[in-house]
Amino acid sequence: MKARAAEYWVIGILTVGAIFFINQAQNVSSATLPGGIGPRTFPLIIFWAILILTACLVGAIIWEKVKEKKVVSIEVESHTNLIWRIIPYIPRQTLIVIAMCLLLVFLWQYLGFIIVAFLFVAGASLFLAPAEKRSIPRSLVLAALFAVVIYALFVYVFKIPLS
Amino acid sequence: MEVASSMSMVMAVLTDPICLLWTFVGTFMGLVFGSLPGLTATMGVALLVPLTFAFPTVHALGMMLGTYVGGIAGGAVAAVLLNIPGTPSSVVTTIDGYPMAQQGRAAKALGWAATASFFGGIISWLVLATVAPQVARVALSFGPPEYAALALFGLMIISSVSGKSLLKGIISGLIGVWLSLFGVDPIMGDLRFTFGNVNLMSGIAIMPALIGFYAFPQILRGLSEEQSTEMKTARLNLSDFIPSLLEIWRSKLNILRSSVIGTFIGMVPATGGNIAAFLAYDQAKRFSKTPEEYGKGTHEGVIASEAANNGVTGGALVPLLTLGIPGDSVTAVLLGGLMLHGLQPGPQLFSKSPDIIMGIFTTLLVANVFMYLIQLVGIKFFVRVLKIPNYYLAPMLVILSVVGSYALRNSLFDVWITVLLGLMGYIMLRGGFPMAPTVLGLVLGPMLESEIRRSLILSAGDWSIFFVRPISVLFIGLSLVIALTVAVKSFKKGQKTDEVEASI
Amino acid sequence: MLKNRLNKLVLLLVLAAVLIASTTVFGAWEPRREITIIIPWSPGGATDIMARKLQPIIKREFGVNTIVLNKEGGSSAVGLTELITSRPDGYTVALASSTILSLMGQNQISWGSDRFTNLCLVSEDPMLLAVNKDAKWKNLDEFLADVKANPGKITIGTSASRNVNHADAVLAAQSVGSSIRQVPFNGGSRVIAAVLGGHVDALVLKPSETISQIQAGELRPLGIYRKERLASLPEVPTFQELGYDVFPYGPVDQISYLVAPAGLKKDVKDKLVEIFRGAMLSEEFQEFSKQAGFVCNPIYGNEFDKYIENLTNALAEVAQKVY
Repeated sequence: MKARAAEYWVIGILTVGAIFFINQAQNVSSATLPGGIGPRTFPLIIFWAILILTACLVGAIIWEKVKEKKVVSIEVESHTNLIWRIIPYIPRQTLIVIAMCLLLVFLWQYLGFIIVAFLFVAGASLFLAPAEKRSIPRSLVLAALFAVVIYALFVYVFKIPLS
Repeated sequence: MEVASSMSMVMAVLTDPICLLWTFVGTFMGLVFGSLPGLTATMGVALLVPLTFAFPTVHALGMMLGTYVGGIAGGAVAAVLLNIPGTPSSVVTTIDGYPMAQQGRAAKALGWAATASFFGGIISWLVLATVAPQVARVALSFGPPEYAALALFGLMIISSVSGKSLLKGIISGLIGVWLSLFGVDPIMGDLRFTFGNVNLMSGIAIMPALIGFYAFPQILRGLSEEQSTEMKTARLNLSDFIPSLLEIWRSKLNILRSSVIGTFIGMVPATGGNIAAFLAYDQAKRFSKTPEEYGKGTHEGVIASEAANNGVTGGALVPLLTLGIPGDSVTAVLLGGLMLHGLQPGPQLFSKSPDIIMGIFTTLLVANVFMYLIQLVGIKFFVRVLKIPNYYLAPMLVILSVVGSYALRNSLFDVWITVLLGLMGYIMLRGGFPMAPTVLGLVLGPMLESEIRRSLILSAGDWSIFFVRPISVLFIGLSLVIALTVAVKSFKKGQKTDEVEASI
Repeated sequence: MLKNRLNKLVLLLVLAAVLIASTTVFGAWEPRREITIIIPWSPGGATDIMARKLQPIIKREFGVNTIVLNKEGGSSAVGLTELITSRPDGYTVALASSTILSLMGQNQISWGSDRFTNLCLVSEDPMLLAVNKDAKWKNLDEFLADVKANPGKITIGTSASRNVNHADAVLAAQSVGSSIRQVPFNGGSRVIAAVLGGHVDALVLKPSETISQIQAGELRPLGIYRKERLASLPEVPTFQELGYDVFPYGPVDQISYLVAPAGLKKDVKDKLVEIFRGAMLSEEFQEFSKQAGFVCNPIYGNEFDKYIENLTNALAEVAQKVY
């Protein structure tokens, strides 16, 4: 049911987001040139469309549930806690990598590209590799090489400054 | 222009080893730029403008055109191997290219991508070199109502690229439009949803969104799956990935149609490779005898996308060279590059500097040949990416994506946008929402809005402006036909199987 | 013991003060490392090309290395916000334009001109009114007579809204007491395409954007928004000489100019002006400006400060009365 849980999340984000933005749209000017449509109209149409279609999606899911109930008498997962049905099943390592990504961007401005890239690649590869294939020296060397090569490629070859 | 003198100009370029060398280097660099997520052809050419400043004009142009051609073609590499479009124009390539790779046919997909790119480039080159002045006027017939109708037609493609559920596809498309709404309003200049942040004034750029929606979910998903794309990469023969002449002949209509669509979209200013690829894919699917294969790994999908986006290269040069109006974002940068070399692109370039025009034609052709040759040699090495264990590849891809989104505007803000959209994209991917419609919405949503509003300013509020102009009527009519067929089809399907899951 | 320490401290302070004073009074500042030029627009654009053209000249004439850093976004607000928050040490400058002054006039950004040290003018790009070569209007008088006779009928394409283009399009109509329909496009090339394709009647753009179509005879230039005629288009009359007052609020010029963060020391400022003016006055750059169709007259100092003040006021007034 992890796909279903992710669906709930998308529905939730879209509903809250659309309502918030419909509210925010009141701050957008509706002044326009003669004959034209103001800056507020199109966004409002989009947000309402999102709201309505999300409702349709909810309807379709409920419809499916009702049908399922008719065919299969008892749903297995109905016994599990509601929270566990809504929180998508995300593997622990994916969660940790997401946290590492956020940390990476956050630390970038303080540590500079090379160090951050090195730490991230080394850390993530050590963390992700299965125990039998984990090799600290290999990860460290690869990470260092990668960080330096990318930095040199961007800064010296492409002339794109990386802070 | 006399044939003899123009032939001698062509020979002058072809026998100039340094010019050929720079064109080669440019093409190679373009392929690198194209295949790295976040680095685009536009950026590559922009970087070359100052670097080639001291070069003779034709050498500089050869290098920039090479980067253009290579950059657009190179996008397919990451799209096929990693499901991450290397450039915005290779989004469509992922739809069929990645499934091919998953089935162990990565090399074949790349071979088709290279071949289709080559044909697209050559066909658009032919148009440019033979009838450019005549067809340039066609592009001018596109006014705001025509753009609006084209955008509407383009949005109908969502029905073709939605995968299982049309409803989810439309929602994905709307999410894309939503993301395009931030920043300065295109018509009035008012600020929309900037929340007082200067960085949001110019809105969410397409590249950070693309990296976020494609690269991050893909990388994160890759972590929890064992390497499904692993394949036999040992001893690839040329015949394993280069389509034979017979195979090419079987796809001739698709190649031709897609290349022509690409060339035409390239000629219309302010459009570009991604719109062309979407349109060509949609048309290929509609004309196909086996439309159900699309999205599951048919080489026809890869052909349509790649022939169209490389068709744009020659097409976009048509209005640039004949009218001084760039056809897409890369040619806009090329315009600057030409000016730095003391040239005024426009109608006079043909009469004033025929040597430059012939130089452009020749180097563009040479660049297409180089692009094909480099890829033929390179594919063997590209596919080795799939042999890198995921625990090394994933972190490196994260760094590349992050650097790519940073480098676009030297902005950490864009990196945050990328990461946040990446999380959203991951949840969407898990929930079965397709990504391609989001990109379509992001590109076409703002076009639809601003062109409708612009048309209404032109007509002083009279909506009939959309229905009295032939091109606009044509596109609106086609959109209606598509909408109706989709509606009828899904209704029938609903009746026949009575299976709700298929429509969710 | 304590006294001893205090003495040393005072001595140090005095020495430091003397050192600082001597560098500001006697020793002229010289750049010791590369100067970063922030370009708040995308690479390959007109402003970017100007900076790239200046780079090798500065290197050759003054031996100073420069880095061009493109920080686009927010109609130049993003890059210039970066500039005002950087250190005023002379190693970071930026190319600002009328656009940012226009944004300030409309209160779309939270800071003002006082956060800049104005160094010198780089380019002046007076706007130009032009029509399709097949249009029925042969000259400015005919065009404006038609505008006067048909208020709100004639369409003029501009790139974006609430900028100098927009103001100039409206001001042309106001000079004959009439109005036009302004059609904003996303970028100058779309405007040109729309006029060449006959979708829009006229355009207001910079000569640098239209010069190639004008030279090829595809566009017919009608008038220039400037006091004097342009050297690159000598046959095009100005609005003023034909008796149309398009600048009731003071001249609304499209310029780009060199700025540093506020609080720049006098000697640093002078040196930077010397370097950049020197490069702009070089034959190579002047030649480039003619060909690209902009005016490069790098005024500086009090004259320039006054100029910017006038322009800021004019743009603020335009923002209230025109948009």
